[in-house]
Amino acid sequence: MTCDQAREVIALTRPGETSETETRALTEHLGSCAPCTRLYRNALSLNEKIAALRAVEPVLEDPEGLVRSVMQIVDETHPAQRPTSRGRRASRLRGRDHDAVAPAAGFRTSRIAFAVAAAIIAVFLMQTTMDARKLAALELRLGRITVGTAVAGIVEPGQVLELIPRGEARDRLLAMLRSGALRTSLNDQGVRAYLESMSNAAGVPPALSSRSGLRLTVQVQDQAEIMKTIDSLLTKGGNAHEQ
Amino acid sequence: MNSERARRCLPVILTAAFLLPGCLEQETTTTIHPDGTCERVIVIRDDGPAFPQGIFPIAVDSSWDTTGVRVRDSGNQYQWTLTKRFRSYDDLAREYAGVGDTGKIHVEVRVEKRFRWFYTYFEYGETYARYSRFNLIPPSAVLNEEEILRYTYGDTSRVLKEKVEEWEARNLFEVLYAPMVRRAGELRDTVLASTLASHKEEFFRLLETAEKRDSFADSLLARFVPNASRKDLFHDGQITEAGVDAVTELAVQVCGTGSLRELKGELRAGWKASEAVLFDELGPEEKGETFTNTVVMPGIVLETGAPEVKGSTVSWKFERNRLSLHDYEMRVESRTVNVWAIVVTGILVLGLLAVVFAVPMFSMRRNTALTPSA
Repeated sequence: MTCDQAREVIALTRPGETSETETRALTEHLGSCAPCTRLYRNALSLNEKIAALRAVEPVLEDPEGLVRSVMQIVDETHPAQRPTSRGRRASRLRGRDHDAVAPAAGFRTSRIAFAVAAAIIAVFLMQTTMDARKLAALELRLGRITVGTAVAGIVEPGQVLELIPRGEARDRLLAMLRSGALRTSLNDQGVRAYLESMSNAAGVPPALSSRSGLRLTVQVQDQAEIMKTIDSLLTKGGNAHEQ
Repeated sequence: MNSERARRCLPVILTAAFLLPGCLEQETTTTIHPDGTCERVIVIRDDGPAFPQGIFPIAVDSSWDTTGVRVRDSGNQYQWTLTKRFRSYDDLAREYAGVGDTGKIHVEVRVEKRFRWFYTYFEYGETYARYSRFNLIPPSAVLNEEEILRYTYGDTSRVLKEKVEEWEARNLFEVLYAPMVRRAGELRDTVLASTLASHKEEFFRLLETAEKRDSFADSLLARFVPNASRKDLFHDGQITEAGVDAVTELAVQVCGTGSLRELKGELRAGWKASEAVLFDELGPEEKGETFTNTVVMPGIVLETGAPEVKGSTVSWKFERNRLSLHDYEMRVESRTVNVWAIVVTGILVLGLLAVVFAVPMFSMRRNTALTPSA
């Protein structure tokens, strides 16, 4: 092994980084070369010191003092650009440049203000929406009259019309259903009389209903019964409920 | 009204007293004020100058302003008005919570005010407890839960009405039949006891299907005492000894055993007891009672089970017999808008929005101004 080759191997002399052949050749060379031997000893000493340094944990004894001293230097260097306390904290935490901290703090304040405003508006809307739902449900219930033992389900106006023989009453009912006027054509008395006559008829379903929230669930006996009650119904007027 | 009800309660027990006309009408109007106070006005209409004795608990004391006047052009009808202002909602609740067991219905009133910044919510609840003298057979023995609720809240369908009639009739019959069964047990006559048990339903149907008491009396006369008259069986609304004999013979015929004659005394006692229960059920004055409960809420009504809602006024109207199966619950929730809270919040939101836009602009402008010097 020449001296140049020996120095290359010495540079790599760390545990596990040289092969056995290289180590053996280097040992033979060091026995006959004093300069390489010195170099090798220095390398071993350096490795030991590096290993000792690795075991040491860095401890900052006075972090505030460090910050103060840094800030002092900053103030001395750029006195007009000193950031706010929040900016300083941000700069300490994030290590950002002071120049970028001021607008960031402004945006943050703005974001918080926006969140608070949005939360207030959301609470208001939520309360109002929930109340509106309750109100709508109440309106629907007041517009819906369910009487009788048979709740056979809701049928479409078309199905209702199938129960009624063709004629003037059917045409009028159809027109009212189409115009949505059926709801306002019923008053309490009318509905009661209608349902009373229906429930007096011992019979089987079906249900009679209309759209627009009004539901009439009644027992009917036959078509003649329906005709009679529909006819009396159509002669009534007035509002069902006021809310 | 009540006479109709009496007619359907095991017709053979019907007495002439139940056919008296008249009806006790009670209107309760409660006004809930947003300031936490409330006012209750009770108006009662009844025949005669005596203060009416209905089943609703009314404390006629100095705290109530009471007036009674004869209603013009209505014969002998008088109208009583009782008014009281309560300093708090709790005072109203306490007014009825303090009423003990006086044979009146138990009334529970709850009023709650909930402040929710933008809105203030008011919740009113009033419950009239179930009131019935028919307690031997529970309503659930004849009606299911849904039917009970439907009847309580005003369902007038015929099928349901018939079921309630059957429940009432079964209760009356139970009162009538129980002394005989008890006596058979005391006599340790197992044959008689089992005969009574096996023919109970048949006997009940026989009495229940009698359309009117007169026709029932005629049938008894024709079958058992041909030489007597109706008056001999039922006199002044009460069953006579001859009537008891005739019904005993009917029971003997139904059950097919003469040993039932030994229970004639129990049959008489049972019949009288069932008459008494029916009297109690129909009320002290044997008249119907109609309740109208109106509540005037602050703000707009959001939720209620009331059949009638007009603006912020909700009303329930029902007859006394609706209380026979189940508690009658009345509930309403309303809301008032807190305008001041909305104004304050509006100002706050505007301020916050100003911050949202102004702060970034200000920060950016300052930053731009500083950059050249840096």
